[in-house]
This record gives sequence, structure tokens and C-alpha cells, in this order.
Amino acid sequence: MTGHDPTGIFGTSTALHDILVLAGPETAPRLLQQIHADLVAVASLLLPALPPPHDWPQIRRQTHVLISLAGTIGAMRLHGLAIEMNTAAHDQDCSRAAALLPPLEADLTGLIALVGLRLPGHGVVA
Amino acid sequence: MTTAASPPQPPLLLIEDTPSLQMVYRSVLTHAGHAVRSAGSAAEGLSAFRDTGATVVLLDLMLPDRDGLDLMQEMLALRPETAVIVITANGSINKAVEAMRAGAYEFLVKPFDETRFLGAVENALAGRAAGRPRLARPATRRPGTPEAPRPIPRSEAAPPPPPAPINATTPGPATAFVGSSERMARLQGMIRSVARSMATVFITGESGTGKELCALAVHEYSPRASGPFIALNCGAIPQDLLESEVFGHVKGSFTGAISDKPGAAAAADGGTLFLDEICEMAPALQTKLLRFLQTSTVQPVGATRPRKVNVRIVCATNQDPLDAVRRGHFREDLYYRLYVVPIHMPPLRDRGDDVIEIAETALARFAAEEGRRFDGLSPEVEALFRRLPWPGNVRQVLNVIRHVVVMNEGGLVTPEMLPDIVADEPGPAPPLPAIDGQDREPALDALIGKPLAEIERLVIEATLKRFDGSVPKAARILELAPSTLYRKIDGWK
Repeated sequence: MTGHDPTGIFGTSTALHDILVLAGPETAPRLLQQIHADLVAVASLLLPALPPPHDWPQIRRQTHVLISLAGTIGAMRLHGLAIEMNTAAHDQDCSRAAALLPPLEADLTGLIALVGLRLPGHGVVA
Repeated sequence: MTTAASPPQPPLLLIEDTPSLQMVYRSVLTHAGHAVRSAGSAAEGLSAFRDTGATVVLLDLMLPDRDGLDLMQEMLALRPETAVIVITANGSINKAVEAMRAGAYEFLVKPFDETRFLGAVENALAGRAAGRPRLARPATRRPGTPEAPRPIPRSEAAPPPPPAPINATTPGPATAFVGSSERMARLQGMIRSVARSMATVFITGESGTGKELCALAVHEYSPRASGPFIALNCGAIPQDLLESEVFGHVKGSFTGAISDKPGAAAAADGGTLFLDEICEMAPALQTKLLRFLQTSTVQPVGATRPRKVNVRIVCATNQDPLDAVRRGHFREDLYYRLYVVPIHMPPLRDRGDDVIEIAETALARFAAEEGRRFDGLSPEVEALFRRLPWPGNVRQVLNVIRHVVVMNEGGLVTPEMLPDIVADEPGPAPPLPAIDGQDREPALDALIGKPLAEIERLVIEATLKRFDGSVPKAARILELAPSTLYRKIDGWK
């Protein structure tokens, strides 16, 4: 179960829930905060790098982190978009990057919001 | 009286710079009972490596302060016995392959599931505990003659028999490679070196060069030597049976499936699966093999659930695998997954005087088997052997010597005692008549309009005719393995 997910970012994946259960009640809140912080850090570096003239090295670095992070917590659509954007950055393919930008941005910001809702004090539990 | 406690196991060292991922991996490992020391940078990781004496390291290849591959090499230089499991994101598999070639134990592509993650760690820990190198171990299969690869049954319908223990004093298979040429010395060193990792080994070489023996050596020098060694010839099993042979089937899943059968991948659990003639594998099965390599699970034909297995893959071909990729016969992603540590078996003609050592070793062995006494090779035979191109490689030498021993009572082996095909060998094959510019067009005109397969057949048949039907000679001219030529000829019948 991944809680409220109107945008379908997690699909049917229970990976985040499973990870938090495995971490245990003491570590889970800290882990969730760290996942949120890492996603925010990626977004803050990746999203400004995406529009033309494209900071390709930065896009490669941040999508590399995003591939792992999104995949690990079960956000598989974003994981796939990150892989595609990483490939586009390697190929310096401007049109492909432009096409991927809107869905990637929407899913990344949506994921940050979803994880944020689960942080202590927001009342949503994993 | 007190009992001496075994020394404490050093912690696993986890080097990962994304803090949340580091926490996730740490949770999984500690939950499974492992002690973990974490580091978020290369500098911190190297310091922890020196302090803790870690023998198993989980290393993210993309680190902020240093290339992970470079760090791995420094760690392996400090403690070569360390098992480094490299972890990287999808999109950087080439980097992981490079790491495997540089001595990594295993690689994991993020995101990975908990079972695969823990399986890799446990294999690495088991490998450390087993120690290495181990020079003599039990094995499932061994070649019967020096350098002679055990023929793989052409229609192996059932999984191979259970392991047959070998006398503990039997030398390891790498010592079964006869020959003191520099190339073979380098090859044996390489086998010992790659054996300790989980890396997939891709063996190439002409027919008869000892590819299966090489695969067996990799298995027997590896930490999983006490497990099974299962060999499967992908080119010899009908394509419609191959999936069942590799992955097994459940009773009733198709006509003729009268009982459950585990398949080679499950039979090799805990050991090594050797896939010979890998480039002959049908495309549909290549997809399944790729999935198997990515997930370490097998799903027998007709089964509803996959099963986790722990198998090291060694594969071989006598073709150029990259050429098979270019021609669209072999999946590129599977190629990169398998072609991690390439080993090329040199043809006998490039091994100098090894041919004499092999022939003499085989002569002594076969003579003992047949109860005859031979006094070695005459200088004329030695000179002839050095001159011959040996298109069938070691296997051909063994056949020639077997023929000599069977057909003669004993004594010094002279040219008269050799089978005709060798004794009459004129040396390098005569060149085909050159077709100059003027003559080439009429010759080509006769071929234009014919399908490529027919052109190939015409050329092969003409070449065979030129060499009086000698497949080895025709194969040499056509730069094909004789086995490939035999297969093509069989296909025309």
C-alpha cells in the first residue's frame, strides 16, 4: 500500500511501504525524510538544467541518481523517464530531452509532494 | 579450559553517496544479520576499508570525489582477496562490465530486489570463507584425455548426473592444459584470476581448442567448485526443446512432458552453467536467458511461479560473437551481459611447440590404455607436426595419436604410421587461383540473381571439390570452423 496516489506515480508498487517496514519504526521516519531530501536535491539541480541550452553533464549526474532512487522506492514510471532522459543527455538529443521534460517534471514534483505528505506531522502513514 | 573463539567477521563496507539509498541498503543488510560500515564518499570509503579489514565491499561506481572503478582498483591492490560488489544504475552497465573485467566480484544494477542483493553478498562472504586458490576439488565433469574437451552429448535429454567426486590429489583442470608456450601460461594465469569472481566468462576459440576444458577450469578454481558443473550445447539441442533443457518443465506442460524436469539452470544451482555454442541459441530463448541473468530466477515451462537460483554462467562459441550481434543473430543486450570476461583459446598452430608436448602426452596415455609401448615421436614426425596447420586443433592431434596407437604395435612413431590425411598433408593449403579484374565479372555474373544462401552453398561445394572433399582443408580456406562446415553440409541433406 502506498497511500494516497491520485497521479499513479507508484502504480501498484509497494516498494516504498516495504522499505519503510523493513527499516522499522525507529528508522522509517528518518529514512522517509532522507528520501524526501534527496528527491528535493535532485529536483533542485535537475530541473534548472533541463531547458535549453541544456546542462548535459548535470542532467546525466542527476538522472543517474534519480534512476536509482525512483526505482528503489517503486516509482517505476519516473524511473523509466529518468533512464530515457539519461540516454538523451548522453546523446545530447535536444528534441528528445524537450519531449521528456514535461512528464518527468510532473512526476518528480508529484513524487516529492507524495513523499512529503508522509513525513511526520502530515498525518499520512506508510 | 576455554575454547578459542573464531575471530569476528569484519563488517561489510557499503560505499554509496546517495544518503537515502545508503540507508535502504543498510536496512536490508542489518535486517539480514550483517554488520555494516557505511561511507558516503570514496575518501571515506577507502579510510574505512583500511580501518575495518572489510573483505566484502558494496561499491557505488558513481561517487562525487573519485571514480568508483579507480577506488576499487586501489582496494584490490591493498587486499586482492576482497570481494567488491559494484552497484550502478541502469544506463551505466558498460561501466559495471569494465569493473568486472578489472576484478569486481559481481555487479548489481539499481534498483535491485532484496533477494538478489543479499544473494550477492552471501555468495561473496561464502567465497571469502572458502579461501582460495583451491587446487583440487570435486567436480561434476572432467575431460577424459589431456586437453580433450568432453564431448557434449548431442541429444542430452535429461539433466546431467549428480557430481562424481574426484580423488583429492587429482590436479586441477588448468594443469590438464598441456603445453608450456607463453600463450598457455598467460591463459592459465587468467583462468585462475577470473575464477574467483562471479563474473560471466565468455570463451571464444576454434573448434577443438579446449573451450569446455577452460570452462571447467574456471569452475574448479572458483569458490563454487564443490557445486555442480552443468554443460549444455545450445547448438546441439533442437530449438523447440532448448527452453525445456535450460529452464525445465512441469509434468503435462506439453506433449511428452511426462514428469517434472528441473532443467540445466536449476541443476546448476550453487555451481556453474556452461552454455556452449551460445550464438546458436534461438532469439526467443535469448530473451529468456537475459531475464534469467537479470533476475536469477527460472520459470520452468508450464510453471506458475519462478524459482530463485544461484548460478554462475560461463559460455562459449567458435564464432565471432560481435559479428553475430551485427548480423542480428544475437541480442546486443545479452552480448553485453555475457561478454564480461572474454577468454580466447588460441589455435594450436599459434602455440609453437605445444603440439609436440600434447602429442607425446597423449601417446603415453593412449599407449598405457591400450597396453602398448611406444618410444615417442621420430624427428620427422615432430617436424611434420610443427608444420601442419591443425585446423581441428588439439582434438585433431588426439585423434591422430589415438589412430597411431590403435593401428600400430609400438616403437618410435614414424610418418608411415600416421593416418593418410596427416601424412599426405602438403603443408599450407594451395591458394585458389586468383580471379583478376577481367575474369571476376563473368564469375560473379553466374551468381547474380541467386539467393545468398545458395551462393554460399555453391562456394562451399566448389571449395570442397577443390580439396577432394576434405572438410578441414575447405574450412581453413573459408576461414570457418570445421564443425560449422559440417553443420552446413548436414543442413543441406
